Amino acid sequence: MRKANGKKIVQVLVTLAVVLVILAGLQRLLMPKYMSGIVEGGMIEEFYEETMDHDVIFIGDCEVYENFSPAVLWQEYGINSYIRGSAEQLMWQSYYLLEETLEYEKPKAVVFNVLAMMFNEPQRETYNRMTLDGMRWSMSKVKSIQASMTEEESFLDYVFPILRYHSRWDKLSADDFKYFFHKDKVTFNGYYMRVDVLPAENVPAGRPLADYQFGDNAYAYLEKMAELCESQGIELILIKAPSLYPAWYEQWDEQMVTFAKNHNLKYYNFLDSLDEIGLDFTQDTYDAGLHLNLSGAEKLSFYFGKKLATDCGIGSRRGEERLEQEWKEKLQAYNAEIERQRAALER
Amino acid sequence: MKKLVVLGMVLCLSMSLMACGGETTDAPQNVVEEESQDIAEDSVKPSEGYALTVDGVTYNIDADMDALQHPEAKSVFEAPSCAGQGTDYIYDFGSFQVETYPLDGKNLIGLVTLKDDMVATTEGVDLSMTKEDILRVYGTGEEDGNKITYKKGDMKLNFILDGDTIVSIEYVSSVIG
Repeated sequence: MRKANGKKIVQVLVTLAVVLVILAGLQRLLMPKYMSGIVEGGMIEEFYEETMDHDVIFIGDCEVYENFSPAVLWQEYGINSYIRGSAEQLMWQSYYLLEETLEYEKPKAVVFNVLAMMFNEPQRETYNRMTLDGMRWSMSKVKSIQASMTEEESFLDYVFPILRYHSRWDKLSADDFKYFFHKDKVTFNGYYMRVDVLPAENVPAGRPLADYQFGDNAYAYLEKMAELCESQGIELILIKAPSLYPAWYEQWDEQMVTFAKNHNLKYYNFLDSLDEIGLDFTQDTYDAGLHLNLSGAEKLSFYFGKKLATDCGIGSRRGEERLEQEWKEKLQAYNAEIERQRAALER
Repeated sequence: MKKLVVLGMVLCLSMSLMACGGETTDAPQNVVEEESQDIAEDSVKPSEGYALTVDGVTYNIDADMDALQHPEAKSVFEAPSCAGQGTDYIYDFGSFQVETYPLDGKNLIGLVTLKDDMVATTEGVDLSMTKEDILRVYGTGEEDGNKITYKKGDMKLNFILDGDTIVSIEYVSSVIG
C-alpha cells in the first residue's frame, strides 16, 4: 500500500516536472529574442556575461548606449566601463538597475544621463519590457516592475512572460529557434554601434511648456540614486548627452545644475561643449542629431574619458593581464563590426 | 494509457495558452504596431474637436497628414523613436508647426503649434492677444498654472501663458498627451 502511494507521488511529481519543462520551453520560445531589427531589447541581459569588474558604469536611455564607446575609454585611458542602457529607460528603472548592478560589483563612478527626468510616470509597455525582461530576478527587478507598470499591465505577466507573449505563436521566426539556447551580443560593453551618417538639419526648437519643473517622482529617484552612490562611496556623475533632439530646455538644465550643486555632484552638459568635443553634426550623427554615430561617440568618449581620468581620478588599468586579454578580444569584435557595417554601407 | 492522457492534457494546456489571445495584444517587440491597430479602429478618424485652418487647409487632430492637400513645408524633421517604434515628423510651416505620430501605417496629426501671430485659431485668437481675449472667445477653461485648456472631442486646445501674454497655442491629440 505504502509502495503504491509512493509510486503515485513520484508519477505526479514527474508529470508536474514535465509540464513545467514544456511550459518553460514554450515561454523561452515565445519571448522576443531581439537579435535582429529591434536589438535594444537584448541589451540589459548582456551585462551578466561580463567577467571583469568595471571602473565606470553608465546608466540611462539611448543617450548613453548610443553616444559613448567603452572601447575608446579603454584604448585611450585604460578605463574599463560598461553601459547599462536601454530604450526610454525611466528614472525608476535606472535606479533599480543601478541597485542591481551594485549587487554584482562596485564601480568607482556611475554616470547617469538626465534626459529621463522629463518623465514623471510610467510610459509604454513596449519600452518597459525592453528594460525589465532582460533583468535577472531580484528584489530590484520586482520593485522596478512595480514602479514601471502602466495601468494596462499586470505583474503576473512579468513573472510568467508566457501569459504576455503567448499570442506570438503565429509570428515565430527563424530567430526564435536559432536563439533559443544562446543569444549573440548586440552591443560592445553596452554600446550600440552605428557607422552610417544622416546629417542634422532643421532641428526644431523645443516648444514652450506651461511648466518646466521636473516631477516629484523623477526627483525622488534621482535623490535615491545620489544617496545609494554616496552610501557605497561611489561618485555619481550627472551628464546631459549632446543629442540635439528632443529639446533640452534651459530651465531643465538649471534644475540639474542646482541639484548637482546641492548634492556636491559633477554635472556635465555636453551640449555646451560641442566645439570643444569636436562634434560636427553633418558627420557625427546617424539620425539627424538624435544620436551620435560611431565617429561622434568616439569623439565624445575621448573627451569625456579625459574628464574621468583628470577630474574624477579614474586611473588606468592598462597592464592588468586578464583585462588586457579580455579587451583584446572585445576590440577585435568591435573593429570587425565597424568593417562589417562599412562594407554593408558600401554595398 | 495514463501517460498519453497526461501528455494530452499538457498539449491542451499549451494550446489553450497559445489560443487565448483575445484579451491581450501582441508581444512587445510588435506591441506598438498591434496596439496601434486596435486603437486605430476606434480613433483613426479625425478628431471632431478644435482645428486650425490656414489658407483653406484644415489641420484636424488625428487626421492623416499625408492625405491633406497642404502647402509644402519650409522643412520637415524626422524623429525616429528609439528601438524602431515608428517615426514622428515635424512640419515647419513658418507661422505654425505640425507634429505627426505613426499609427496603423498612417502619419497622423498629433500636435499643431502656432509660432507667431500671422495665424490665428479658427475662433480668432492669436499670439498677440491676452488671457482676457481667450476667456472672452472660449469662455472658462481648465486653468492649470500657466495653461488654459479647452477639451473638445478627443483633443485639447492649450493656451500657454506668461502672465497675461499668450506664448503658445497648441492643438493636442489625446494619443500623444
